[in-house]
Amino acid sequence: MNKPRLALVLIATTLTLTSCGMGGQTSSGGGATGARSIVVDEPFAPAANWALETDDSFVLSKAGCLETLVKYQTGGGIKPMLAASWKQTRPTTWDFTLRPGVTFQDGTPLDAKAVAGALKHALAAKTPAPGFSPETIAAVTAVDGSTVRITTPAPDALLPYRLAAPNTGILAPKAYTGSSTNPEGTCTGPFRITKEIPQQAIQLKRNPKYWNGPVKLASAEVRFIADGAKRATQIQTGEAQISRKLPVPSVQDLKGNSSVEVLTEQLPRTTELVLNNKKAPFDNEKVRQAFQAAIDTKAITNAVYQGAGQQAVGPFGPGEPWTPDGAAPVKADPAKAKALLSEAGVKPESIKVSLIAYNEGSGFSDLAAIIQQELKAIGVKASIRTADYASVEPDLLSGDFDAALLSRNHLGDMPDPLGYLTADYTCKGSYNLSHYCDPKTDGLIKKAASAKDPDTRYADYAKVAAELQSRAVDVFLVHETESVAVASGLKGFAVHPYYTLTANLSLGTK
Amino acid sequence: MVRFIVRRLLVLLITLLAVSAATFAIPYASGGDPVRTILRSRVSDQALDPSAIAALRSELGLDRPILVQYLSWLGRAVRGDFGMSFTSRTPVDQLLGTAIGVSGTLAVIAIGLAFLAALPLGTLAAMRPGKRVDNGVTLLTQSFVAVPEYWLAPILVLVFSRYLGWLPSAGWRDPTSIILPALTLALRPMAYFTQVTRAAMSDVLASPYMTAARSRGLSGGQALLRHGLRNALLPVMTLFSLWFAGLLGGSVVVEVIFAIPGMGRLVYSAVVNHDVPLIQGGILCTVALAVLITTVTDLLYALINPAVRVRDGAV
Repeated sequence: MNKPRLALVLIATTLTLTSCGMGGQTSSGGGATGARSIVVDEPFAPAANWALETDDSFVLSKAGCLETLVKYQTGGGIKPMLAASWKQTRPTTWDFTLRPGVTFQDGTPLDAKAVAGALKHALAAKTPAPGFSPETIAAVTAVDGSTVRITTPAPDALLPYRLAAPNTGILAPKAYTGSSTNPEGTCTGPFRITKEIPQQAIQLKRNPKYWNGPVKLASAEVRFIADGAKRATQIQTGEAQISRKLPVPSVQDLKGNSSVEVLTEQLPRTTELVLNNKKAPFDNEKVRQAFQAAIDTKAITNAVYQGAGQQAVGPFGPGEPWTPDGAAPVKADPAKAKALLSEAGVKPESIKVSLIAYNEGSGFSDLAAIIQQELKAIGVKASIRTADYASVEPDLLSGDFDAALLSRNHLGDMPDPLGYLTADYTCKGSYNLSHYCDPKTDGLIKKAASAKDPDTRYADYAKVAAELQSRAVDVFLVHETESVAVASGLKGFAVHPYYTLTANLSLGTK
Repeated sequence: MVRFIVRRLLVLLITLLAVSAATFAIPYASGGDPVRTILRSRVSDQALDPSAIAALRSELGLDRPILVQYLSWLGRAVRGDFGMSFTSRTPVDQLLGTAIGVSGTLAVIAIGLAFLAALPLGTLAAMRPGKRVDNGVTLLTQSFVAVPEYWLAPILVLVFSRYLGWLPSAGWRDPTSIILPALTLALRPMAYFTQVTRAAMSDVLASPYMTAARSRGLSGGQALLRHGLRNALLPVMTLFSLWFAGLLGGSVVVEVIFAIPGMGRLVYSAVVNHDVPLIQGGILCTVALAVLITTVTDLLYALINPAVRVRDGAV
């Protein structure tokens, strides 16, 4: 073989590499450095090219870039953010008055036209966010320079709550001119994105013209690190100052580290054993209650979650405004469980159930094994089926299963559990895995949806929660928590599902 | 030579067709609704809106028969258009470009390190058979072969990042961040290369032409460099190309542990999210590169060893 021929082959290899995209961007860049810069480790990278109708909006909100008309406060409340006030002028009409003097990071003013354009863009998405879609919103119009009118197809007391979800974030008109949404320089938040390192990090600098006062940190970097143990390592090495969603073993490891503080907050997420209410033996309330009494949630919390969770008191956790007063965990009582089965006229040995534990569920295989043993103690035989969630979902939705472990967020679409209760526990709910149907519950949820007063609404939610728990529609096991490690010296940080980088964060060194 | 290249191209074509058909079936073979999985990769809420599911199914053309989807994809792929990622809606070639660049850099450095360490170690062991050096090298390489990456990587992080604080524990930012993942990836190929170099060099050192070279007045080192290494390199090269092709496809374990945006992590998450265009593009690129690299190696093999050229009639 001569050299020119060899050269041809090498050129062909190079061309193939190029066609596979070797000419694409290569990642590079430096970290946030300096005394007034911090690094935040987050578990999830943006996955949808900054489409705000997806979870990418949460990434932008946590990064201190994206802001919404309404701000969500931990504990269920809302308060003004980009909107200074709002009013329901008619049953299906809400007027939002914008905060004066706010500008986008590109210098353009935040006016009604820009806000209406951003919200219309959210509605026009081919797969809009469930909390803000053409099914819930009829129209968005700019009434004058500072008023945005939103009309709904039916009276909707929850509209301001919908506008607190990051999916309804407002970007400058320039952000929507390209083929994909561009948040660089188009947010209103305390931090401006200066560089994106695909799948790795975003670098940010403070917004010197932030509407809500001076921003204490000069810059920050948000890194996307999927491995929980690695996020814990980075806070130990000083490479990060905030590490979110730490795995339980890492939390135990960090507790002895004096330079790190671990904050643990309850999440609006509960792990439950979904029982198929339309299929025997779970179509019998006594049998469901027997399962509830047989399962020791305290033992599960200690063994599987190693204390990083709370025994469930129902679908909602203690301290949430819609949790029934005095709600307490069900105490494990095998004797009572046997008695309930006897009352139901069902022999324990005649019950054979299959428990689905999907692979993506954290600790689900251990959880299923413990439940299996606890059921065995009352004479019930349970088998465990493990599979990917995608492959068991058709069975869950069609009702072709007995029981399944599920980790469920009840504030996924907005800071109010209406969407969750409607999807999971109404007769026509789109995610009613327990196949529970009771017109009384439907009526309560419908009544709550129309209540303008939050206290009235929350009281109705609490009634629904009490009903679900007392009738053992599902067995609620553990309220999940999120542990965040923070470098000591960092001030102004609070664990929040929507906001991490805020104007108040400071290192306290300068 | 032309016949050789044409044969290899045909093999490449048939392999790519078979692989593309198999990967297209992955989302359907694993059960469940691919549209729900795609949507869930973008929105963490489990309760999906039925109208959103229908809209996405229509938008992505997943409501068409699978054969029509496959042929439509194939038609575009032939023209070099791998389409858009279902989850990120970014052109697949753009995503692959970044990832291959990363995995390629890592592979070159890891294999280079392995090669540079293996050559002297293997040669040294071959020159002192049965002696301490030989036994030491054998012990070392056998240990390295047995060390899994998922164990080694955290240990390296623990020592060099956490306790010594010399190197970053994750990321792909500057030259220092390449060291730990490259070391992790280099150790096993280094062990194999060393073992093969030792065996090949032992044969070479015992061959008559080495004795002849020495008898012509060449020193031991000169004979080794001029005649020994060239012949001993042949089996190492074959191994080298196989490892290189494998590493170009990315290492899921190392890329996840070190948070490296390479091919392994990209294609793995594409499989999890049923992102068919990305799976297709990723696997096709990896297979194409693997076949091309082995072809180039075969050609280089012939270049280094004239006997191969004569035997295969490649001249």
